[in-house]
Amino acid sequence: MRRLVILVLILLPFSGLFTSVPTFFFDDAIINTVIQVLVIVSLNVWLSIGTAWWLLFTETKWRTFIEWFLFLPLFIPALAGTFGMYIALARFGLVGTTIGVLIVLLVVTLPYSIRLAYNAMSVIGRPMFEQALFMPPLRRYRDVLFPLLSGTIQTIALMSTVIVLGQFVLIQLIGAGLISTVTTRLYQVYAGNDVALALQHTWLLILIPAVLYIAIGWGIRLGVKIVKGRL
Amino acid sequence: MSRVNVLLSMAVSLLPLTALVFLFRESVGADVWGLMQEETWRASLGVTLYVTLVSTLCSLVLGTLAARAVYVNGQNWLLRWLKWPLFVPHIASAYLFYLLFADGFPFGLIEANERHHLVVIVTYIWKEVPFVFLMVLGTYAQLNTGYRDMAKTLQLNPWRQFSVAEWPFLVKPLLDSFWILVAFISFAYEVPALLGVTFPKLLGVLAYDRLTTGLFLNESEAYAVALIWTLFLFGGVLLTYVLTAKHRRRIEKGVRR
Amino acid sequence: MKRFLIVGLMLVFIVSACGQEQAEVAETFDEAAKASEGTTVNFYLWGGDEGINRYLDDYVAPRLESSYGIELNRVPMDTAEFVRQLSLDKRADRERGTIDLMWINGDNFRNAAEADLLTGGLLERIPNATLLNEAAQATDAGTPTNGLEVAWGNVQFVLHYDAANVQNPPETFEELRRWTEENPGRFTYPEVTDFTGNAFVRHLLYAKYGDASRDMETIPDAFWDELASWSPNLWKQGQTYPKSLAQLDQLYASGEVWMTMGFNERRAEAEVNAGVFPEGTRALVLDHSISSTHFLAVPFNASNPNGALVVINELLAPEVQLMKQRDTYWGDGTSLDLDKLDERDREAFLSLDDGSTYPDPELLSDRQLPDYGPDVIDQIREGWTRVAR
Repeated sequence: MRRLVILVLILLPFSGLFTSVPTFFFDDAIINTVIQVLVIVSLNVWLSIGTAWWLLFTETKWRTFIEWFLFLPLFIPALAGTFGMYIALARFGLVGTTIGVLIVLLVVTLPYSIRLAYNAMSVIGRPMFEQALFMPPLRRYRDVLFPLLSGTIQTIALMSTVIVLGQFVLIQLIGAGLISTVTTRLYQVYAGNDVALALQHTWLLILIPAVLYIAIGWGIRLGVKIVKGRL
Repeated sequence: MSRVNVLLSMAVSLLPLTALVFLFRESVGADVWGLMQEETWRASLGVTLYVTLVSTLCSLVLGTLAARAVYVNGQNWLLRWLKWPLFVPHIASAYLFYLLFADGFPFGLIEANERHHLVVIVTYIWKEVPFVFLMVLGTYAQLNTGYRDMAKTLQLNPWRQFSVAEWPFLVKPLLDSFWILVAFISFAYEVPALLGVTFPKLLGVLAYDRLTTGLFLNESEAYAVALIWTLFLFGGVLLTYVLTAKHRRRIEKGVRR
Repeated sequence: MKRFLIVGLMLVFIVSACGQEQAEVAETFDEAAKASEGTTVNFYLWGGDEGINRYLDDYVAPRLESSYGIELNRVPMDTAEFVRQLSLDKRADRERGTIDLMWINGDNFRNAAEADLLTGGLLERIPNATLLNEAAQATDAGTPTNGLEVAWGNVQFVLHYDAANVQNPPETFEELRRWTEENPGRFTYPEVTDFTGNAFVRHLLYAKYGDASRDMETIPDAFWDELASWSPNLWKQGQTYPKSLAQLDQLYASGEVWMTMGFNERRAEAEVNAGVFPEGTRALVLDHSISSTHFLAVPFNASNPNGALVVINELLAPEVQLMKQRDTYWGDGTSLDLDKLDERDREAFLSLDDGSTYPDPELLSDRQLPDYGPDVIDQIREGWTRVAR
């Protein structure tokens, strides 16, 4: 009984999705979005695991400082950060370009990913990783980090996908309106009259991370199987 | 190899910190005293604190309870279902809750866009409980059950068992989650913009409105508010981490089996 | 490998940071047309109205492509947002921006002009500018335009109501207030940060104080107290207001409120034809109606100012303005002076059939009122908190 109540509480909000029948479509904004997500997810996984590894195993007096340096951006209000980043990126001519948008998306996702990777690694514990300390980097990633952190990789991918998909103000400003994504379009649709259209976009925003999560899950399980087979 | 990663990560983190420089420059000349007098900002601060703290604390408690249910009571089904809200970006969940509550739910009881911001809070709780759950889950996964067994053997009451055998290990993930959630919720735009009310507005919505509706004359105010709030958060983060540093280090050492 | 990547990235930064000089504006229209062949013009404007979007995408863009070889890229964004983008560009010394052409007016124009964000000298380079209605072109809500922007359209503020629900529509703002008392929850207006919501309050201000309200230092408290007395009978008891006109329209379309409002006396026709607004939608002109002109401007750092000039000229062509005024797409009033057009064009404008949602044109022009200056807009934004509270 209690289980049922909790399930209903978790799932009830999804009921809104079924109030009208969405029709699916495919266009530039969706392609943009998927490419952004894939690039950002890969960069996040690669950077965060490497950084967390370094934080865990490097003995230097700079460690605490760097840890804080990587942590604090989480606490800058997104809105204010956006204006500052615009000025910085405009000097390099990156406003209104895909590269500029990718950079700021990395900025808003990476601190979370590093945190997740770092926490996961300290949970698994140093002893498990220490055996890999002297392996060449590629083998270290493939044979130790990848299998041990497979769940975390999946979580990092999910978190960064969802954060990327939640960005409106950021992409609108840094992309100067020229980079259109599902989210930027959705924002205009929410303000309009068409509930069915708004729902279509909402569906997309939920399906993209779900599909990606499942796909990455499969990929990882397959990968782990291959690695294990080789050992 | 991992040194490259760290350098790149730091370069990426440098960018938002330039935002601080920008904020400092733009806030110059803001009449901070006048700001505190202005009712709009004061009311906004009040409602922001209320919404942020209520949603954060509820999320922390429920998230921890859920993680506990999995590891202590073996409710593994939660692992599968609690993931669902994670797939929904904030903006989409705001819209879903808007659809659900627009005309009052259940039976016209709670409506969206009312002054108690109940729907805003519920939306945040629904979104953040799984996040806290994830942050805490790792800790429970590696928690040495020996501690709890010992607490049980000593016949401590359930509350004491929790506070002795689990709480010390939860401090770090809960502190992390607390500040991440507070920082995020207190200055977010999407959810309160769709589900909030005209007055009082949450800080993020008010600042965004002030910055994008042509009141250029007052823009240094909005920047000053952002800056003060950022520094306040930085201060809070540093303070709580310094205060718990000793405790956390002891735990970390103990955990290394 | 990784080193290469980093060096490569740095190169990208350095290369892209160079070669950023301001684009040059041609002296004459013919030169501009020649220089801009085969280019793209990024046109930034509010994207909340499907009719406007389709007018530009389906009608204007193909014409530009075939006559001048210019590709028109419509970028939907709120006006205040791209004005802010420009002010950030200014601070970052960004000489080649992304915006080539924009729709702007009122307080946004004042802000942009004060911050020196616009390219001047537009009128003498645009042949069709000679056809403009001089009164409309001269000032923008009290601010002289000084050739920094070109009038694009001219509209008046009206309310629309659903005759199926409203049998005896009010005729004055005072009667409107009484009507809300008799029909609680069926009326609201957008919050005053919104362009339309602010204009609604300006109408009330004029209804109470007349021309004296134009020179008031501050708006008297009595006015706000009276406006606050509307609240209990508004939608959701005035606890919250729609954030934008689009949201109010949404409420009106779903029948939750029975009136909506907006600049542009013809705007409801296309919505009714599309089945969004109810069949019974009719216009409502109260004591007076503020008229408002909207404009086109070129930012100081436009990458393709010549293309922008060509687009402006095309948008002012009588034929293109006529299509704009038809209910086919948009129904936006022309900014041209009909007396300056040739016989055939003038007839075409005059013969545009009346729609069921159009107000009586004579009544509308009788009650026309020039807009307030931006200072009043700001005062309303600041003072209205007392009402929302």
